[in-house]
Amino acid sequence: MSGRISRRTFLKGAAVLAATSGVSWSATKAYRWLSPAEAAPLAREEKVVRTVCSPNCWQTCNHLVTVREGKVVKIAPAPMPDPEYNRICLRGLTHIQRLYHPDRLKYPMRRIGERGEGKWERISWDEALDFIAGKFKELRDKYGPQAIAVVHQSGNYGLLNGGYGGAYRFAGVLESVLASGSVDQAVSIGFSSALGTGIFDAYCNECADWVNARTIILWGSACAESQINEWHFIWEAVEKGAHLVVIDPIYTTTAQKAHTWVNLRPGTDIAFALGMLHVIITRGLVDKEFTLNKTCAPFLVREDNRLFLRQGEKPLVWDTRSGRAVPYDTPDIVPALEGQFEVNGVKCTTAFSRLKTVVQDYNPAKVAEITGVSPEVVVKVATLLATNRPGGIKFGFGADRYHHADLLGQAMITLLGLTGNIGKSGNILGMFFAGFDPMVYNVNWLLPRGTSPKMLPLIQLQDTVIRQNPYPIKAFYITCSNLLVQTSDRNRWLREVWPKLELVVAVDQFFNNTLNYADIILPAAHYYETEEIVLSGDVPYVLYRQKVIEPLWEARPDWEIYRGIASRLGLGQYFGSIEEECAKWLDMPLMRQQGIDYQRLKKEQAIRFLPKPYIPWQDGKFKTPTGRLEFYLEKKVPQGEELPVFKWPLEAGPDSPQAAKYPLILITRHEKFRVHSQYENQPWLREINPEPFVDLNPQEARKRGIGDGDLVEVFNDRGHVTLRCRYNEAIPPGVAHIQQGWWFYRDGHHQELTHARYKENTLNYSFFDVRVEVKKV
Amino acid sequence: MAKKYGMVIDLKRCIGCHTCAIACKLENNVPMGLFWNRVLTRGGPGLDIPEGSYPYLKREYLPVACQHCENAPCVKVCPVGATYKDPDGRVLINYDRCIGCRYCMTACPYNARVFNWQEPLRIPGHSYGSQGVPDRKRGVVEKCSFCQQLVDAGGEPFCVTCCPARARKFGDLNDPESEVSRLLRERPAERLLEDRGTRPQVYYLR
Amino acid sequence: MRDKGYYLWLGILSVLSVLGLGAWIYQVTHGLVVTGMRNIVTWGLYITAFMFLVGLSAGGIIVSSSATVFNLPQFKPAARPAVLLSVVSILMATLFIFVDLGRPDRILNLLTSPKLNSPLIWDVIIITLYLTLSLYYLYLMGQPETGEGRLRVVAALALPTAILVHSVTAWIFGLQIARPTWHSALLAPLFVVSALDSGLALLLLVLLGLDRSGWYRVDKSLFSTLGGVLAVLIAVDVFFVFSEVLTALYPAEERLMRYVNLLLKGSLAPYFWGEILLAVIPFLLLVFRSNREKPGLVGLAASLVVIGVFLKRIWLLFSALLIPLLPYAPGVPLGSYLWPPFEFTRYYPVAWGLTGKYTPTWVEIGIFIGIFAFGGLLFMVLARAILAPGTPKESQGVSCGLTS
Repeated sequence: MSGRISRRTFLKGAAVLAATSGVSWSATKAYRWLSPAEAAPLAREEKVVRTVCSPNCWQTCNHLVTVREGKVVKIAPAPMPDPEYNRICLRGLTHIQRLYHPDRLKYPMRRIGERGEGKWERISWDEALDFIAGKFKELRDKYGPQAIAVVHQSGNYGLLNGGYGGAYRFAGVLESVLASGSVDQAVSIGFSSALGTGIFDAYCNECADWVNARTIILWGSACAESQINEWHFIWEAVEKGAHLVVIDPIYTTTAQKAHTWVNLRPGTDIAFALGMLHVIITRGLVDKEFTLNKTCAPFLVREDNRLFLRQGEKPLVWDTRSGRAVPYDTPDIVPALEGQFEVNGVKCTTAFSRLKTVVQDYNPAKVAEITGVSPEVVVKVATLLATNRPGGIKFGFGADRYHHADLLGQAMITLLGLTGNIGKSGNILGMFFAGFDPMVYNVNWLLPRGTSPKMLPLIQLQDTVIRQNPYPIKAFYITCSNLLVQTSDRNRWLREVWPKLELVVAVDQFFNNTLNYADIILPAAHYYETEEIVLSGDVPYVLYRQKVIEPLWEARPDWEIYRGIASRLGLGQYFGSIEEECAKWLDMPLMRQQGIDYQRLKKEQAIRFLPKPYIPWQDGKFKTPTGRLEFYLEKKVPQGEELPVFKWPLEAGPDSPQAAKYPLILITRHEKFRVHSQYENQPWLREINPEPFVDLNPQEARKRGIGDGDLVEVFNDRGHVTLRCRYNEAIPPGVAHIQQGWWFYRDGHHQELTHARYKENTLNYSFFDVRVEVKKV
Repeated sequence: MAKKYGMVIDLKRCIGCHTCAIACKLENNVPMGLFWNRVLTRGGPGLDIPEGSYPYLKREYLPVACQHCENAPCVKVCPVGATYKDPDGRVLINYDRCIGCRYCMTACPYNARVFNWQEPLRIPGHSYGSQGVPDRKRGVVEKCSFCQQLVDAGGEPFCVTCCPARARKFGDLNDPESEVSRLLRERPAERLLEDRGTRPQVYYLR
Repeated sequence: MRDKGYYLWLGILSVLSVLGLGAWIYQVTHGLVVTGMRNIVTWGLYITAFMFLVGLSAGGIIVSSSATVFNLPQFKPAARPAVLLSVVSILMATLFIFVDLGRPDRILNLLTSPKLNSPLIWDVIIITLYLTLSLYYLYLMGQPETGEGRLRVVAALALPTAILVHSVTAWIFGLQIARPTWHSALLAPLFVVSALDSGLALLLLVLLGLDRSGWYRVDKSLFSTLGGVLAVLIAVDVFFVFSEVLTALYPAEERLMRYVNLLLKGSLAPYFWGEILLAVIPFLLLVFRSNREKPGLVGLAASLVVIGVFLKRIWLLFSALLIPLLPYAPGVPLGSYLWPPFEFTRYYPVAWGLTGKYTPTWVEIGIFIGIFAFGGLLFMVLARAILAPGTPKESQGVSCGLTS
């Protein structure tokens, strides 16, 4: 350990001290020799580097990192152009431990035992890269380029080294399969369809504007834990008088702060939303102005095929002035919001009328029956959203992790549309996410001409490998992902997928539960050890990450690893220098307009690229073909889901075939101690949160003869996990809860319990749509 | 007038995220196994466990560090004057003088003081935090100093800087215009174990 | 042969003392982490023993100096062994404070930068004074030419000092606002009376031992008389404890009850009820004159009292330390952290305690035994030198000659 001071340093220190301090000195002076190392340290040289932390809490906090004598010694929040975005959290502060963690992967290694056995030998980078490139070449020659799958998740938002940047380029250059996504996207898919945007576009008001909200509904969002740095905006709104509604079956910290906590039964969120729509429509709380003019509500829907009645491309509306159907954008018309019409012999009704029909059954009493929430609460929340404006709905991914979550997204945007809570200061539209919007997500950079990965939703990767169809995948290159901890049906991965793989390369910083099963493991550089642009999360800035220290041991930035492999395959030209690539990325209209270039960005490191305040949709023009908010989704007519309808989830519903055998719904939610599975082994965090528990309501535990702290097995037909049980009243009866992201258990893993069944239009993991039983070991 | 440093923590804002606890460890070079600053759960029997029976529940977070009491029991009992009240109203420790008798620990009603039972173990293996943080060795008691090294340089305690919920305010309680004084005028506040008469300089807003 | 027994004991006690010293060296090199103490229970066996020994010491000298001050000639034969016992006990008590320090190398800070606010400094002062007086008293009693008047003056000083020494020890604890079961005005009287009964009981045992060894003959009637006094003291002790517990139980203040329940039905119940039992039984034994006339029974009663008072020191100390006043989870960081096996780490050490736990480790027990062995050794050597006949100055005051 350093921190010890040599005797000479001490003597100098003592001399300085003796000269400067007088009072308390004399008393202890005589005995000072007994404790030489405790003399005050002399000022030592320090530098402070501004950098960015970028895991998938998507808060992209900027850090000021102090380096003393070559070592990182302090991390502090960096001042942002708008001080309300100054931020850091408990996890970001532990990077000092992550950098110097005794367990950190230090060298490239090759497996010498069986997969999962944990026997490795150290190899050189050249050996590793030669081997990987050689094997890739062999597979490409034999099976074609799609024999390789680059598998990434959200471990890093860096442009070059992250999952949403360099990994695309690498897969594109190799023309390999790029397996990604499938996590936390179903609600967004439903939600964004109506807006006509991509699923993670910047469709929401920026967080700093949320303080102007009067009604805030946090829906399946443990914001105070999972997006810790968004919380203060919510709370400032509350301090200004906003009403906070939290919809969550679990009594989270976020729920604890709510004025109204809606503790609905897991998986019944859509029914609650339909109940709100029912109240809003039947009680005349609809914002008629907005609904008629900005949404598809007055569009005529044919009764025969439930598609819009169109003239050419344009949907028609019923003009009450002229008493006929006219294109929706005809000037000077007064469209009918509801009613039945016959146009040229085709029976029609309006989209609004259809919505009214869909929700008519969901009166508060019926919703209460399904959700377990009292009817008054349905009325209250709906009334608040419609009348206590501006308001908004912020969704997290709690309600996302059920089979039909896209329908919830549809319902949410419909609620916001009918109540006119769009395009005004104080509105919250789902989630604010700036970095993936097409205006700043430079696709041309990601996939330069001539490169083309085969995109594969991650959830289809298991099937694809097992069937070797549509791609003959023989090798995985896993980066920015703890695949076996963060995707479902772990046993299927290991039993059916892994044996078909001739090569598994994994790039990471620790021996997590995925690296364990790899063939070649490569030590990735930490955020602080790399330099690059960082795709912003929920901040309206373009960000630049400075390198704080050189990579420790033999760690390398992902970008250099890509270059190393690609150049051995003769494709090295696609992996240029940091400066070159960052400058190319910045070459897009938005940046040019604002005069943001590489030199400026490198200097300022955080530059606002969105107007202040950023409030989208102020002009009421959406990105749909009609420019209206199209909550009626024609493309979903075949499934009967053009409007939000309530469907029980796959397993979690009471009608599921597993319900009798496995009475508990397994919820594996995010907690404050990790971002997905990152930071799992940080000693400071583990001091506070030392081991995994399955949280059960004491009532459920006692029913099974399980005591607080007993070792239990959580199991279903797919697998099991062994861990301790914790009595937790925050968990409703009927639910078993395990924090997401633990790498290791005494036996088994919680991802053995989950399944990879998906809905065709969302391709989303339904992590919570799972049933289990718990027994004492 | 002399300064009287104090802290005001808004319990309504606090989300129990432990960022203050970790920030404190980082800034003050606190070794493994010790915390100068910790977040307690007022509720059920365990961390984050609420009290009551679902869904009729209650829970509150309570960050606790040294309360820098005006009537500090630890200062009274220290036999060698290693713990003292400084002119700015802080309770500080002269680590070079502490004999490790742990009398102050039994005197503190808040269990805010921790002892170096073992050779301090740090992960990473080097000392971290700001310069000017006194070094502590095995065998001495340590605790929160309101980040003396930062405050004396014109800054604020690091837990205040880092708090994501902006729940912590620091300032001079003797200055009626300071933010802490203003908050204490405007909102009801409690102090911990007020019946013990220690007159803490850390206030909790509710 | 008595000498053989003496040297055998000397040997055993020396070995144990050296082992204790070894344990202390181990503790110094590894830190107090080798003890069972942690951040909630910050004091343990050492401080328990300190309290106990100060009591023993004070008790002995109060009895012996009372003999001089109040001119109770029948007690006089007990005076010198009592003072000797006091000196040895107080030295042992001081040693226990020393081994409890985290930085023993800085012990002189107590002298170079004392803060008079601290009851611990009061204790340092009063113990120093007390030790000086005791040694002087002992010296005077050994001088045949010492006049009764002079002895009485010293005894008159020693008596209040002894009462004060244990009161101050009580105030170390009793003035703490943070520790509900300590914070009581009755604590000092309670300590004094416990000192009296345990000190007297130990004196009785020592006198019995000396009598048996033949170094120092004591009249049987002394045992009977002192036994009677002991019975009274036990009764007062129990009365104080009863008064203390009743004061807590009657209002049943919620917070205090959490601590009191520890004693009545919690983890400290064996010590609490054990102490009560070990007061009631000897009282019942000693209350009958016929029993008091049997030195064996008096000895039995006395040893029960000594054990009982030790149990009382245990429950007194820990009842206040086990429960933090802020009873919220996860509690207090305990302060020890073992380097976990990092590769594929599954479980990290749990670093917190909601309530305290304490079990003395072998190091503490070793040091404990070592200090007691050293005390025994010291007493034996001094007793043989001062009390036993054969030394030229020792012919007075010994009721019966000794033939080897």
